Amino acid sequence: MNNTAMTNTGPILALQNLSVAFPTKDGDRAVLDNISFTLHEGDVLGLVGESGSGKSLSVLSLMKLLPPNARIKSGKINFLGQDLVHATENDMRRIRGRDIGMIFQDPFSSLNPVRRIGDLLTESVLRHQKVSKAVARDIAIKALADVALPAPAERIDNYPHQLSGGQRQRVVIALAGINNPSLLIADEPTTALDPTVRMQVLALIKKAATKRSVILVTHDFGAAAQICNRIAVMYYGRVVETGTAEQILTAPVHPYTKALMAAVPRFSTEHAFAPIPGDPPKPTERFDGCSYRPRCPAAADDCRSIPPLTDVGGHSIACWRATQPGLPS
Amino acid sequence: MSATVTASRRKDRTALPTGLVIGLGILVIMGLLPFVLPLLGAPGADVINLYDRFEKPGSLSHLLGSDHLGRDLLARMAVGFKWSFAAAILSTALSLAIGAPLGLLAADQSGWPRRVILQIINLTMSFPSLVAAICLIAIIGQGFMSLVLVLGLLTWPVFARIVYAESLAILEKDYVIAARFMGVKQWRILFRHVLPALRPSLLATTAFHFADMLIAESALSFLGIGAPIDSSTWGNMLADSRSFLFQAPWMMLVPAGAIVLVVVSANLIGDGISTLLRGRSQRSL
Repeated sequence: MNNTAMTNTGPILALQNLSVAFPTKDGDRAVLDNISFTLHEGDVLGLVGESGSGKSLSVLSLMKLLPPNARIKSGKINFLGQDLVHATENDMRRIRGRDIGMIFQDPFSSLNPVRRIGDLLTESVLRHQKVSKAVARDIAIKALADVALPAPAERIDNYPHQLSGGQRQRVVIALAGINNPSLLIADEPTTALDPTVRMQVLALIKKAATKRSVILVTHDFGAAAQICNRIAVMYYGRVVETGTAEQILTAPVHPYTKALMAAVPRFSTEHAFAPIPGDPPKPTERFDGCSYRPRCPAAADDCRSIPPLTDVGGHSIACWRATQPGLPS
Repeated sequence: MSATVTASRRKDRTALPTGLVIGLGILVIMGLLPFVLPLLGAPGADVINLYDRFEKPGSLSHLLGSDHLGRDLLARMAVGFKWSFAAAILSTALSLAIGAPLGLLAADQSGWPRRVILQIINLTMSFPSLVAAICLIAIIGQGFMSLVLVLGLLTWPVFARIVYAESLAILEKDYVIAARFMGVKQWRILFRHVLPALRPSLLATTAFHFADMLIAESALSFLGIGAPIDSSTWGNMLADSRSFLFQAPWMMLVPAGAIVLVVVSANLIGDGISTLLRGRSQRSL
């Protein structure tokens, strides 16, 4: 709408071999290593992984809001035909909020407590669209109605503390989608919410995905299963397995994905709750080869070299055992 | 729902701290005195009556006594409030207007602008302020506006440091990061997202700083380099009383008492504002 590039039929977002590193005393420390994924209109991609796996950093790097000392070492970010790696800060400010909307994890801390929610909403509209204040207010009320906030015309003048957690998260979603962005990023949008509100919020995000594409950053396979059509599992700065949600959820191949699914607690005596042994590696640790090797039950000698992300029927896995015989199930 | 919201808001409003009410009350009374006194038939502040010299406080014609020229001390104190209040409020405003933006800028810019601003703050604070004030006034000349200018130029680091320190924390808050994710321009983030969050501490600091400025103004006027000598500021009244300290101590006690009263009420207001706003922001979190 406010974007002529919407008309092209190519992918909305394509990350190609993106690597991000922090400089340290003994050389650059890679925190993202050759990340690739592609999003088409209507796609909901789940980025799943433990904390420190690089899922949030992937999002920050495509928003170009990395910590000041982090560097994009190599790779391409193509967003609606624009090269974001080389985009200026001014270009990025126009893209943020207009073409890429962000839904934050914690609705209690991501809304400014001293400003009315209407001020926040209209600020974003006035920043990115050439409309009058009155029109911006109408757009804001409509956005609140779209996320099913009751009595939006009155709520718009409330301060965040006058709303409940679920209502606030609705406001956060309205704020992310108010300028009709082509890409919506949801960073653990349900972590801070009650289970009942969680369902409603996930349904809202799914609804929003019909006109655009969505990246859902989460460590929760349950949330990913509900709304994602594609899932990328990340471990220690690399994508270890990616495919359709069905492939990943019903037939995971990578030992890490399997372990992660087994670690989801269930009300069942047949499936014992199986935590993954060991700890996720610290950012300062270094490995040769597969980063999951120290915790992997299937590790062998060839795991000392980095397994490439290999396509096995539309389902890519970065594991030597997956493409070679001898994989324990 | 909206009815309960307004009800709880009204409750916030009425629960004003006592100190704030007392402080504001004193300031209002002091502010009204110069307008009310003439209506009650009190003598003017500059009316000289040599038959009424050194009248003791409590007399019918001079409630707070009279000075060496027979001028009414109550009237002079009332008029002095206008001068002292104006000088203190203007220099506080100037110091806020210089200090707050520089503090914000220093917090936002992590490179050389921060280092430069912090060094200017240190430089300004390292001068003994009284000596610096005397030097500056010697250069730009005596007068009401130069008094305001000098006080403002010497004291803005107070605000700059508070704004700097608190903005550093607020710039890390999720809601500021969220604004950045929405493409809000940096100056707007600083002035519309960060600065409003500083309101409680800025208001309280303003009240305390006002008290400091009032004392500084009186001190400079006492030394004869503040407000014009013929104006009846409290500092000038104190300077006049010096020669008659044993003969007529009330000449010193009246302006000194007035200064103490206003300084105490400014501090009460500052305290009141911080309790009030701290309570409110805690409720909002």
